[in-house]
Parts: sequence; C-alpha cells; structure tokens
Amino acid sequence: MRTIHRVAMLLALAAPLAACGSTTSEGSNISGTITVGAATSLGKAFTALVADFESTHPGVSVSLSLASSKELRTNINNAAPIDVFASADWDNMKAVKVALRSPAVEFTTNRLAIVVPPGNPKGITGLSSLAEAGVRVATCSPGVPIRTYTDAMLTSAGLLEKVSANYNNFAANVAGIVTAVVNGGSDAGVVYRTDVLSAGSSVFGVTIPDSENHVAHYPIAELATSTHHAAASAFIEYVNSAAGQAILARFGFGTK
Amino acid sequence: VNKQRPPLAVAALGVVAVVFFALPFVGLLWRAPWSDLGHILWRHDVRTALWLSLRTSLIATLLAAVFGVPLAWLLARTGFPGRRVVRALATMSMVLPPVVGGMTLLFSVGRKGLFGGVLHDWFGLTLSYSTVGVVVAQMFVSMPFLVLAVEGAIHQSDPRFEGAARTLGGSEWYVFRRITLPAIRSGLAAGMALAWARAFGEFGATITFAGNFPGRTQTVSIATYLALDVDQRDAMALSVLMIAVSLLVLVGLRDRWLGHERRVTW
Repeated sequence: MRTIHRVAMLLALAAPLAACGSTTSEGSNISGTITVGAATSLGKAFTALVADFESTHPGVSVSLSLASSKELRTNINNAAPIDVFASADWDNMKAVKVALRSPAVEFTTNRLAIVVPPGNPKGITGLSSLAEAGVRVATCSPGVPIRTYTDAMLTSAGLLEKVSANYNNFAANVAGIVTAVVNGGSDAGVVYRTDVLSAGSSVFGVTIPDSENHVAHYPIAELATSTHHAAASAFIEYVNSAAGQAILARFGFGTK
Repeated sequence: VNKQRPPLAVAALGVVAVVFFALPFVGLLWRAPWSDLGHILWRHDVRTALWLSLRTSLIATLLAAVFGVPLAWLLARTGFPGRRVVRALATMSMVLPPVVGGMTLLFSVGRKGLFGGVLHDWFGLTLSYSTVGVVVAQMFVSMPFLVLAVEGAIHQSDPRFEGAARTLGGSEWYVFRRITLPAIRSGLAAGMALAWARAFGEFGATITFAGNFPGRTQTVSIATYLALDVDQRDAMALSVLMIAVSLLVLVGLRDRWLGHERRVTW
C-alpha cells in the first residue's frame, strides 16, 4: 500500500517531464513548440514579437532562450534543442557547426551607444572620455558580439589601446554591462542603443555620432536539426514581415 | 550554569561575524518589492521556473536517496577494498566547483560527450540541455550531502540490533528494511533535506550542463540570476522566495542543528 503510494508520487512528479516537448495539433495547420535562441539585446523586442506571433499562430508556442550569441552558438554546437538562432553578429552565426535549413538572412540592425549612471557623474561625452585615466569601463568577454563591435569601433577611432586598458568588468552578455553600470561596478560601458532605450530611467545614454558609430548586423536562421520546420520557418517569416519589423522598430532596432 | 564571560576581543569578533551574516539579508529584504511580491511570483514565467525547480529537485532528492542510501550502507558497514577512494569519489562533487561539475557532465554524458553519443544512439536519451539533464546535474551535486548524512547515521546506529535480527532468522533484505532503515530515519530525513536544498538552489552545474531554456531547464536559480540583468525587482522578489524556502529547511532541521540536543531512542 505504502509502496504503491510512493510509486504514484514518483509518477506524478515525472509525468510533466514526459509531457514536455510533446506537441498537439488542433485546427491550425501549423503547430508545435519551437525554441528560439535569441541574442540578449533582442530580449524585450523578441518577447513582444513572440507574443504577437503566438496570437496570430494559435497552434504554435515559442520558448525564448536569451543569452549572448556566443553562448547560444556554444549551446547549439553541443546539440542544444534550438530551432531558430537569432544572432547579434555574423561571426557567431558562421561559427555554428550544425547545418542550417537555409542560408541565414539579416533581419535587423542596431547601433552602439554609451551607457552611464543617471546624472552622468563622470561627465562622459563620447568615446574619447572612455579613454581617460580612472574611467572604469564595462564590456563583455571576447567573442560576445557587443565586444566585437565595441573593439572594432574603438579601433577605427584609434582608441582601442587606451580604452581596453580601462576595461574593468567582462560580463557574459550585453545586459551584464548595463547591470555593472547601474550597480556602480563600472563608470560607463558601450552597449546597443536599444539597451539604453529599454533600460529606461535607471541609466543615461550618451549618443555616439554615426560618423564614429558601427552598425550591428543581426542574422537569423533555422537549424537543420529542428523538428518543427513549419513553425520555425513561419517564425522567421514573421520576423521579416512588416508586422515583425514594426515591433523591432518600436524597440529602436533598424528595419530592413 | 557554566556559562562564562567571553574575553572582549572574542566577543567583538563574534559580533562582527553575526553582523556579516545578517547585513546581506537586511539589504535585500529592505529593498525587496514587497507590495509587488505576489504579483511577480505569480507571473507565468516565474511560476514555470518555480514548478520546474520543485519537480526536478524533488526527483533528484528521491533518486539520491534510492542510490545514496545503499552506497552509504556499503561505506559504513562493509570493508570492501578501495572504500576510501569510493568515499572520496562520492564526496568529490560536494567540494568541486559546480561549474566544473557541469563541465564533467557535458563532456561525458552530454550529447557530444564521450558516453552521450551512445546514450543517444542506443537509448534515444539526450541529457544535455534537457529537463532530465537538470535532474542529473542536481543529483550530481546534492547526493554527497545525503550519503554523508546517512553514513554518519549508520555509523551511530548499533550494529548489534542488525546482528540480533539476523540471528532470529531475518534475511539480509529484511534486516536492511526493518532494522537498518528505521534506525537511520532521522539521519536520512536530514540528508534528504540538505540534498533537496542543494538541488533546489543548484545553479552552476545546471546552467553549464542543461543551459537556460524556459520551461525546460530554466530553474528558479537561473531565472533569478538572469533577472538581475533585466529587472532587479524581479531578482529581489525571487531571492525573497528562496530565502523563505531556505528558512523552512532550516526550521525543519532545527532539532539537528539549532541546539536541541535531543537523543532519539529506538
């Protein structure tokens, strides 16, 4: 009796595990749950975009996995069950060792900006301020797209050597740069313009003029290992559609 | 009545230690979004992470008991060769940095790991980046707590009771079930509570081995860590929840740790 009870308990606990990932097909011609691995900077925009996509595709459920493109690429190369990869740069998309269903396409762009605490206590006015002695600058570890773009931009400005000497914090993803600045771990950081917009009043943004700025390119692709081809390609199609692009634009991203 | 007055330096340093333990809680609880707590914790994504953590940690604890109790018994009651090595191995993941634990799992039983390919090709089992992987990671890091607690309890229980039962004709299995297990139930309960708390709070091994997939591998610890970079109020609300859970475990273990030296008699 007691044993039966325990077994029942175990089964009750295990049942939802087995239910995970199963798909139901009702009415709609496309159904299933897809996992979209998206760059951290896409977080808020893709959350809104996914909600809109799910309301227009009732049979499809999207699970959004947010991390740096570098981390997602590592996950994918270790056979993580990701159906769609939305990367913040081409380097990480090209480093994917899993075959793609079709070639990756660029779906949006972004620009860089400097993030500082409210009130801008260090008086940061532009890239050259980041090179000044005693300014602690947050960035990411090498290979994370924001770091690649930042270093490229600083190289063009001839400031890389001086600014990189001021790097004091190497976050796992771009959101970590904002956190470091908000919590006083760093005086400033280079992030995407969209990060400054979505951080709201917790930070100040310092604009980098287009002449010095770099453009971030975001490619998206379906992985050949995806078992939900119809849903995955519908999602990519939606991201590239007028509705999807409008949502991206609302969060400050560039449209195609 | 043999309480003594402490030397001033000892008292002062002791007070510093107490403040050191207390201040972090004060800071977090002070700034926590109390009025929104219910709202945040009831949100769909938070409930999903919480439910995942509850399920996986409970299963991990039960599995740790299923395999850990026999191992503890072997360590305590038999003198098999290489016992010390086995005990060291069984304790290793307790002192190992969790992220390294996750690495060892990824490169051994992960999909691309040494044995992971076999698991996948022969049994269709993929542990890395899956909910089962979360359970495996939690079990890996939490089982030592259970093994050590149970082994200690077995050491303290009198082997003559088992001997007597055998003399009276009880089979080895009967003796284990009816004499050994009841004698260690307090140690087993404590070991399971500790293992569960460790499994519930697991972060490093989980994110390394199972990644961060909402609904599948994003446990409440991982959600809390990620929330820090998105909305600090969410991070604080989740932390409050986990502090409450830890307090409950501590209250559950109070007889063991908080001074009530109660002798359990059988």
